[in-house]
Amino acid sequence: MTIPYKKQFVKSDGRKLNRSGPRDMQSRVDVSGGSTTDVELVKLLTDQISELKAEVLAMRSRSGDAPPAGFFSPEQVDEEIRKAVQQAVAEAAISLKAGNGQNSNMAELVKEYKTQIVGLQEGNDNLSRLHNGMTKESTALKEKINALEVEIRDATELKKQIAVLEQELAGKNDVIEILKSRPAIYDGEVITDPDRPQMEQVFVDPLEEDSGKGLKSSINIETVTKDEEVLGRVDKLRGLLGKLPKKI
Amino acid sequence: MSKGVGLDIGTNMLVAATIDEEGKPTFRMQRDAFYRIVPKSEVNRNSIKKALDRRGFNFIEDTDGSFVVVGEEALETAIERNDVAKRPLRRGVISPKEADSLPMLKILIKNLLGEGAGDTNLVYSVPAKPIDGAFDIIYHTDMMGKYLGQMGYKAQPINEAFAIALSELLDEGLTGVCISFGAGMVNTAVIHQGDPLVEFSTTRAGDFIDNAAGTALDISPSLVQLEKESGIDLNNYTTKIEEAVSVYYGSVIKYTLENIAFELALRKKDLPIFREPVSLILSGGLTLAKGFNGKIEEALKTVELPIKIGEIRGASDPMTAVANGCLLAAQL
Repeated sequence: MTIPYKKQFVKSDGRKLNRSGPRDMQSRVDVSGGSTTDVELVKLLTDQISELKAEVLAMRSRSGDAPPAGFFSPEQVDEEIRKAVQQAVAEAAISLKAGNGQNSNMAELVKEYKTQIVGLQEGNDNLSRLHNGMTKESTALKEKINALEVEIRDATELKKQIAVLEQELAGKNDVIEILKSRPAIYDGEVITDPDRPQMEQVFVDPLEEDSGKGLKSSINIETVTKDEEVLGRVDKLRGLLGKLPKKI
Repeated sequence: MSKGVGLDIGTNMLVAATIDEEGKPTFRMQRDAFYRIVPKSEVNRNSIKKALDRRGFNFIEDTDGSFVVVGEEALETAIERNDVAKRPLRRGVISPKEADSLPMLKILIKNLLGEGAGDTNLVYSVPAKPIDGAFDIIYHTDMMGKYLGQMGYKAQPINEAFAIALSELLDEGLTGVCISFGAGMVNTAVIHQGDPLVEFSTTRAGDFIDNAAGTALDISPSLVQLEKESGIDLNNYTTKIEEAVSVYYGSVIKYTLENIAFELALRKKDLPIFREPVSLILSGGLTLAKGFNGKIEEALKTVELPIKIGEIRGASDPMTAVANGCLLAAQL
């Protein structure tokens, strides 16, 4: 891009100012409305150098080859500018490298912190879990302790009752031995040793042998016959039971 | 074919069962009650005898000149004289304390059966051991066997409720529960494939109802008994006697079923696991009351039995079922 050169001001020594000072350059950058990257800056500088070269050549043509006292020749200017640009580029590169190094250190630091934070969080989680577990165990233990306390109370009460019973039983060993010798009672029935001799059951008829012989009955009883078949039922019963058990 | 005889010896009724020439079952019943009338003089004796003959009463003339009215008429005579008829059996068994009643019992049985041939099979019913009373059924069983032997029979006892099973559960392979609601006792048996696994009795039955209602209304228990047996509807009573009878019926049913549940729970180890619900057979004089089976069904809902009950039905003839079972057993 070529910056238009406007000859607006001619100095007393005859030089024409080409608006190449820092403020002019800044105003041109502002007018362009964008940020100046290093590449653009270099390009801008290159353009300015070209303009300066052209201006120096024009001045030389007007005043001969020798530069005025206290001024650089165009070659010298060119040389100096090149040096300055190279130096600026080198400094910018060094600065950029240093910045990158710092960022790298920070990232490592952040990474390290992150690792530490994760570790701490894990540690915190473990502690929370441990706390919860201990709370639960504590509740269970409390319940067990309560149950044991109740059992202890019951046992104490039983001990008291046993002591009372023992007092009552004291001196009654003979009676206990007699009771032990009796047959055991199970489900309301007396269980006896099957080998033990049993008393024969004998029943005596309370009636005299000739009792009722002089009685004269005047009794008429009606007979009712049912229209049923008995034989078939008997056969069925015989099929189910066989013979009638001796004792039913 | 053997022609054995069956005999139901109940507290209230004696029922004999035989087989006639055509192979049909025949039944002869006699109420198990008597009432003694002691004449004050010879003239009085003659007039009493004429009166008994005229009324067609069954009676026995004792050697001391007294008259013993027996059966249904004994109750009527007792009521006329504001007295209570006597019974040879109490709570289903004979008792040595009632020794003077025994000759009457023997005569009543002889009138029902006639003399045996000496080897005639006879199966007679006996109650099971009571769970709520302490009296001797072995004495009763033994003495009855002896008396029947004296009459010419080869007698064998059989449990009353099991006899009902033989009569009523043939089509179900002799599996079910039978309850006999009699006058003196309620007999219960649980039978599995012909095996009577559990048998027991309770002592609150028909006589309890008569006595309780009689006491409540201050009337003769014999009158209550006659009123009760003339037919009663347990859900629709019209007189005070019927009301009292109905109330005590409820008490007996509740007491019986609660005791059955209790006893069966105790003897659970003796019971098999019935895969299907079993039939419950109700028999005995008490079951003749209208609405009886319904009351049983209602009461069964309030107790927990270890056996699932299926059909609840009355015996084909509640008055002769025991004798019929004895008759069938006597043919084996």
